[in-house]
Amino acid sequence: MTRPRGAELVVDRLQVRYRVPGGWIEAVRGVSFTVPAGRTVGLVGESGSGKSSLAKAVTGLVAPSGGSVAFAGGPVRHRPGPGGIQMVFQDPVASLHPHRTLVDLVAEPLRWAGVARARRRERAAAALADVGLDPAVYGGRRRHQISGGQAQRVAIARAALAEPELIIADEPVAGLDVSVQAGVVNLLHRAVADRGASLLFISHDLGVVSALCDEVVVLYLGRVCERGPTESVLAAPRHPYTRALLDAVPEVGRVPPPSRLPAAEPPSPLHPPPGCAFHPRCPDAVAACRTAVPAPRELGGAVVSCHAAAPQTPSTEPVTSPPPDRSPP
Amino acid sequence: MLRRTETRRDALVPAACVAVLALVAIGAVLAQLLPQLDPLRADFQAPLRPPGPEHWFGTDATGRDVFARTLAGGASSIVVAAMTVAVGLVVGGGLGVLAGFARGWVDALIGTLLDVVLALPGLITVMVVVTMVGPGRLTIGALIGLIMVPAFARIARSATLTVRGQEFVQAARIMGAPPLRIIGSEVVRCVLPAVAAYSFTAVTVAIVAEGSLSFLGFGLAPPTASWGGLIAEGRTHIATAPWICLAPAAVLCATVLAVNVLGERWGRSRP
Repeated sequence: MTRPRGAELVVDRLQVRYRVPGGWIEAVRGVSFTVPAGRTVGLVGESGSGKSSLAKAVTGLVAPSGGSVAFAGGPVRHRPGPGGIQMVFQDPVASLHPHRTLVDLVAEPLRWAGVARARRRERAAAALADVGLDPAVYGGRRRHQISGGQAQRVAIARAALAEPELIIADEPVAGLDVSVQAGVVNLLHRAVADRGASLLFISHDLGVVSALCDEVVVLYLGRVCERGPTESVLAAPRHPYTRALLDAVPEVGRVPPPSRLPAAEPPSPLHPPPGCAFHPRCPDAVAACRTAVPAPRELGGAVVSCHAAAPQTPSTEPVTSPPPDRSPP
Repeated sequence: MLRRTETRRDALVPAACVAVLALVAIGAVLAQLLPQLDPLRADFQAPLRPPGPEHWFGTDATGRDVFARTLAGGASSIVVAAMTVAVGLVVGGGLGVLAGFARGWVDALIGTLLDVVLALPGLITVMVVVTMVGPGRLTIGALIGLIMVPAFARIARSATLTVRGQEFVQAARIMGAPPLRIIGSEVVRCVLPAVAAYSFTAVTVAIVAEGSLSFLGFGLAPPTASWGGLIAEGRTHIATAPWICLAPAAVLCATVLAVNVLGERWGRSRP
């Protein structure tokens, strides 16, 4: 593990599990990636892939059961004031206190940082105007008096006012009308780009991620399939799951082809398949996929965890080294 | 037509309940202030008088005015009920919020403590303690409140668990809000309505419990007026002077009913 510089987020072999009746759910099973300072990383996966658990572990809302999260060279701490991590939630309305007015909601990070009431209200009003909500009209409203898109704007204004080095957005537009999604994504982009902060953007929508993110991490059943620069991953996806996700992105004038995946439903995270978790649905599965967890390896600029992925140039790479995240059988 | 009568009743019933409680409260205050309403002033010339223009609720065996004594009994009930709710809200609500927010071993410890209190037979425990420390409105109110702590705590705990998992609380944590400030400003405001709704029930329980204790002789000691005590005193004359029992009993029932109806409305108006 390299020493992180600046406000880099380093997630190293992270594991998160929950106790449920009848066993444990291994939501995150050894995930490693970094969000370099000032970069935008997209985390993609379908529901049940462990995206939200990962987000909660990174923000310190749940304790990881293994591995580590380091931010700016140390553990993640919840402390008021600039330079920390802020989060934008999937349900924007639920992330706002039901009794507070929008101005007070946006001012919350300043309140915890000890800024005087008049001063923080002034700054919160300016922040509301920044996200396109006239403080004279909306400042006194409460969360049930605005739409979901407006609530997400408020949440972004609040996160930005805390002046974080990293914003984690967990499916920030999944619950919004398509017509307002682009506006919210733009605001999120501006909130980090203006100050050179970094963004971890979690989504199931590869289309949004490809437009917004410098790098992409593809998650499947709690493990990373493939990660790398967005352009190389999207131009030449190595992992069959990434290819399937890309095939499923609709475009104007093109109906997505029928899925190449044999089983449409992902397996249960309570009983993940042995070996590569994707093998029951994988069109390219070979014998090794059923028994051995594929080790991450470099392929054309990206890091791919797949036994069957072929290197672009026919160079032979050893695939036998055991992965660091593999638990003993 | 049906709708109109319904709407009218919807407005009338709570208004009547508020009126009953207001009369009891005003009467309780007046009984402390007006010498004509002194519950201890006996008119030995007029024992066991039936209700009439001079003595609205009649007089008891020593000629004391039952109306004045009923009003004074209301004061006792109000003080006891207020103390019960105060103890229940502060101790029970506090323990419940703490258990729900901290979870883990704190939750387990508080849960065990509450189970112990629940295992005590309520009225008998109060009787034993009253016998030891002596009667008094605040003592009895506090004891009934302590018996009700588990109920308050469970309601507060479950409401806290719901609020705690909500995203605005998680957002406050990420923003660096200290845990105590989160409880104070984020959680309590959302838990209070649920606990407040239960306070109405606690008031009725306190009034009935105080009445029962005083009736049994373990509550407020004479000459302090108390509805239960008045009913107990009037018991011996129930055949010849039923008003001595019935007046305080009717006021007690009306008060409890009014509190219950209002509490139910309050609970229904809040999701």
